[in-house]
Amino acid sequence: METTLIIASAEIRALFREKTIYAITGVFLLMTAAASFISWSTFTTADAVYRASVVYLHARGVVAIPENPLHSIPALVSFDNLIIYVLLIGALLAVIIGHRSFMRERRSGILQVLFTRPVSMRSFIFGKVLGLGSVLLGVMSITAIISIASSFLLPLQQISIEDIGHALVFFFLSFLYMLFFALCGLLFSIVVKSESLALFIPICIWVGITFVLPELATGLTPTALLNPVTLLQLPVAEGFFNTAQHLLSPVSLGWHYTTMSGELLGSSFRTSFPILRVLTEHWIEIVTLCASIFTLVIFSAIALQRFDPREGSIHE
Amino acid sequence: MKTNIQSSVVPIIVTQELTKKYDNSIALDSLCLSINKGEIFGFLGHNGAGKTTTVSMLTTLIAPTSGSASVCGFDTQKESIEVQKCIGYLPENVKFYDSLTAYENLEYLAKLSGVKNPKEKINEVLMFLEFDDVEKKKLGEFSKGMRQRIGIAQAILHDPEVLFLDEPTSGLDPMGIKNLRKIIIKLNREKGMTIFMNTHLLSEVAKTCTTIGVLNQGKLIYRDSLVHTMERFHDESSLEEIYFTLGDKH
Repeated sequence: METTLIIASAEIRALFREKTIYAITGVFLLMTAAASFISWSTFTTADAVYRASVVYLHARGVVAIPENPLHSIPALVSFDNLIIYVLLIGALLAVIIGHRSFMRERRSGILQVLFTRPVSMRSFIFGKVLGLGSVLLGVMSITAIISIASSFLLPLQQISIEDIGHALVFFFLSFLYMLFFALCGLLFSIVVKSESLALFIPICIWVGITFVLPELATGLTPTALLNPVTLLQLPVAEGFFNTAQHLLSPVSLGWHYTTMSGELLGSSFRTSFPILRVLTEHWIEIVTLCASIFTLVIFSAIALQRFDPREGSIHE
Repeated sequence: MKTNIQSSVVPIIVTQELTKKYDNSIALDSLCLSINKGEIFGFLGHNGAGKTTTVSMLTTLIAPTSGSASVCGFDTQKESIEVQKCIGYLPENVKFYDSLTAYENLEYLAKLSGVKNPKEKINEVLMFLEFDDVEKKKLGEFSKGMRQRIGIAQAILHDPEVLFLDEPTSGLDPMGIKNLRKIIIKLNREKGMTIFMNTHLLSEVAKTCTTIGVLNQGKLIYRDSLVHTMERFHDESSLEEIYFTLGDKH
């Protein structure tokens, strides 16, 4: 356990020394702040229009003024954009963090020295995963603080303790989703000899999970691509798409993430579903995501056992 | 010629029929070797003879195709963690995290080796190696000789019983070679470390080692103490000639 913690803390320090990681994390956090600002600006403008209308209607002698429609909108709707940022920027950031995690050691050539230390491969990989997880959890925590703090400023429904609970579950779900991609980056940096190919493959997986699988798994429903909004078009449920839907739906992690997030934040149906309901209705999807993460950790450990530190590659 | 007062007849490195095959080629063929505690063993051979493969298997970096090896009484395959606790390893062209300082690199490796007081130990080792004011410099700024010394520092941080050195003089200038020789002898005499050294430089073997082994195309063709070797081949004027004579016979 002590060795795992040593590796994890070294991993965290090493990641925070990398300019690329700083740049992408910075963009992600900046987008979070921008999303908060855009929400604030949009809803404040709408609120100002409503107030001006009320003054105007009062001046015209209208007594029956309709209630402010913004007050019926769930406070967490302002987090909508975050779902897209996690799918697009967060997942990509995670791939790069995971890729750099092992590639840094391969590049430096220190593996021959590291692997003659009394450290089991299990401790080594768990240390890496713990380090990666801590960095991603840190990024998501900052995102959560910015988003939740800014939601108090919006003229929507008052944010409640229950809403904060929903938000925290959403951020944890986002963390798990990003961890999956970080582990993809880690696994392929161990398995693939070529550095560029080791980055290209997880990026292809990211493209597939983000853009291709949601389309096929939902029968070409255009809204399934990114937006967690109510379905506007009936899915194609014939022939190939029917089969594809059945086969690919369970592994369409991006689509599951979008759906669950939409239900938690209230963007799909303009009301947040209770956490327990979301978790019980989507338990298969949650188990699939956790099982994928677990499988990637196991595969990384197996790949590391077969890794030849002298060659910087794996013996076939 | 150096003689080692600390060497004893307790075998600390033992290999039995140790073999490594890569596809159709045999890198190491049934190596049977026993090295006693306290020896400085010079492992000689041409490029591709199988020296690095042998060290890689003894340091648990790669698994043998067949046969077995034990270091400090532990099987390199079944008890690799125990073996790793009692060995230090300096690979050829040792590499580190260049963006970290020498101290940060050593601290990380010391912690991984289970050293209780890393800071104290690093200072002690750097003092032993007569290395001052370098711990705050980034390793990317170091010369080859300095890197090699940091390489030795990382290998001895946890006071290993056996130290494996793979071509330790590779790329060093004459002064660097001389300093390294001094360190190797000092480690053996003052810390009682058994040293297993792969090398091309026959002059180094003559000045440093107590026992030699010669590897040719994956096979051990000779093994004896340096003293006996010089007596046996007294007609040959230098170790270099002995080496080539042995090579020609096989």
